[in-house]
This record gives sequence, C-alpha cells and structure tokens, in this order.
Amino acid sequence: MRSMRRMKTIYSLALAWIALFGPLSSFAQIPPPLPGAIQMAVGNMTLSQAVTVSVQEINELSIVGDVHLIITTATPGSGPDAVTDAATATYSLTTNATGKKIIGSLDSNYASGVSLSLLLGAPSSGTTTSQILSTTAMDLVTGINYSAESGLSISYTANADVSALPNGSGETRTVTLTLMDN
Amino acid sequence: MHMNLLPILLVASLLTPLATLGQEFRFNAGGGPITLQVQSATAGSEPVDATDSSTEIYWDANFGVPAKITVATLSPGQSFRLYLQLNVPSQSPAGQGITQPEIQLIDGMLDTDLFTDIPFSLPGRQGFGTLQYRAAAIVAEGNSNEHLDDAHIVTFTLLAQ
Repeated sequence: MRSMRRMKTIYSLALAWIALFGPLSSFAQIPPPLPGAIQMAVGNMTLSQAVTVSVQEINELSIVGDVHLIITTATPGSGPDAVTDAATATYSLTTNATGKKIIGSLDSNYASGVSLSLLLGAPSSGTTTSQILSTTAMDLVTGINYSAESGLSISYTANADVSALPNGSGETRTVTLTLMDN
Repeated sequence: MHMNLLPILLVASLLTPLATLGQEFRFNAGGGPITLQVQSATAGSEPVDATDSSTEIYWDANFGVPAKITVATLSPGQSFRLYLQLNVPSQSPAGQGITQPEIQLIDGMLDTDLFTDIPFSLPGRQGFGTLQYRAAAIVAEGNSNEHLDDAHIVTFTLLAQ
C-alpha cells in the first residue's frame, strides 16, 4: 500500500515535470548523424574539407614611357652623334617560373641610315644584351628565373649615318617586348 | 518486487538522457572540395592571393562547459601558403566567442585554436561563421607545373575548452 502511494507520487511528479518542461530527452537530444559530421568518443566533433591550392604559371611584362630621340649634332669628320635616353622608359616583369627571356622587335624598320638600339636593365636573374632593333625579334634578356621587379631601366640609343636623310618630325616606331620561354 | 522496481526504473529512464549532452557541428553552406587558384599578377608585383569564402559552419557547443573550434591540416609536400580565418557575425546574440587572427595552415600542424570561449549556455553556444581561405605564393615559390598542386585535408574540431 505504501509502495503504491509512493509510485503514484512519483508518477504525478513525473507527469507534472513532463507537462511543464516536456520530456527530458527533448533538450538533451543527440541529433541524427549529419553528412560530414563525426561524433567522437569523447564528445568532440570534427568536420573535414578538401582544399586544393593551385598556382598557375604567371608571366607579366609591362613598359611605361614613350621616348623621343632627336639627332641634331655631329662632330666634323664623323657621322651624326648618337642620342641616348635611359631615363624616360622603364619596364616591369613578374614570372614565377624559370628559363624565361625577353625579346624585342620593331613594328617596321627605320629608313635607311637610321637605327635604334635597346639595352634593358638586368633583373636580379638574367643576362642582358644590347641589340639593334628590327622587325626580327632579338634576345634582350635571357635566363630569367622567379622575378617580380619593377622600374627596370630601358636605354634607347638612336643612330644615324651620313646617308640618313633628315626626316622632319621623325619616324615613330613601336617597340614590342615579349616575355617567353628561353 | 516488481512494484518496488518500477519507480526506480521510471526515474532512471527520465534521468538517463541527462548523462549525454548533444552537440552539433556541420557545414551550413558549402563544405565540399574547393580549389584556390593563384593565377594573376601585375607586372612587377607578386602574384595576387586567391580567396574563398563559400563555406559556412554551424555549431551547437552543448558541452556544459565553454568550448572551442580548432583547425589542422594534412598536406604532404606542401609548396604554397594557405591561410584561414573564421568570420563570425558579431551582431547576433548567438555565435559568441573569440575569433582568432588568421592562421597559416601548415602540413602536420597541431590542432590550432580558430574560435575560442564559446559559452556553454544558450543562445551563445550556438553560432555560425564563414571560413575564409587565402592562398598565397610569391614568385620564388614557383608554380604548380613545377611542384604540383597542394592538396589539403583541413580538419575542424569542436571540443570542450
């Protein structure tokens, strides 16, 4: 009899608890397994993600500055004096690869007796060579490896021999530099 | 005999769930494989970093004590640099905790704190945040043609602090 009363009391308390707060399991519920989630023995939970880092080969080259060279003088007994501008134009390059070179060419050749030489400032890796430009591309810097440098010098030298005719306001040419494999 | 056991069983069945607290830790958005491509640069400058913020994680740190989220990675032969930061919206009452500064993910690293001091009570114990990955490679580190891509398995752990 006494145990019956005790049981009723417990039932009543339990029902009252459930009525007021709901079953205990409702706020201590373990959610069903979720995709990618792992329940560890000590209660830690982990997630994993595959992340790939890909670095493409990057080669970038740019030039700043237009150059105007005027040949106006000559030493008696010699041809016209060459004119050099090494301060106006610069170039920048970025490459995250090895074995690169810079070649240069003109869009069209100058008139007979006039020529343009180009010497590029050397990046930290690479060997530079002065070249007389023409429509045929020539190596200007070779052996460039892993480089990100800006403000590198460009030195143009205009030459004219005595056969060159005066050309008024001048002949404009476009110099194209290309960064490519050695 | 049976009548005597019944109350005990009843009480036990009600209290048993209390012994196990429920945590939840899942991807809220994204979560699949992602690829970060470093592929551009301005001439004269180092390559531009690649970023990805497409992954969001959700947690309910119902440990009964403060909790934290840690991160580690495995990437054998890693050549390039990968960074991670968890960005948690600050305007919500949920998602309380302390965000750690950007972490560099290095192959074989120990579990490193990503988000700490998650409260043990509601609403702060529940939260979400965006995983912001950043890949970087200076020119001297070369490219994937030379080294192959870095393949990371990044693991996040929600645990009692």
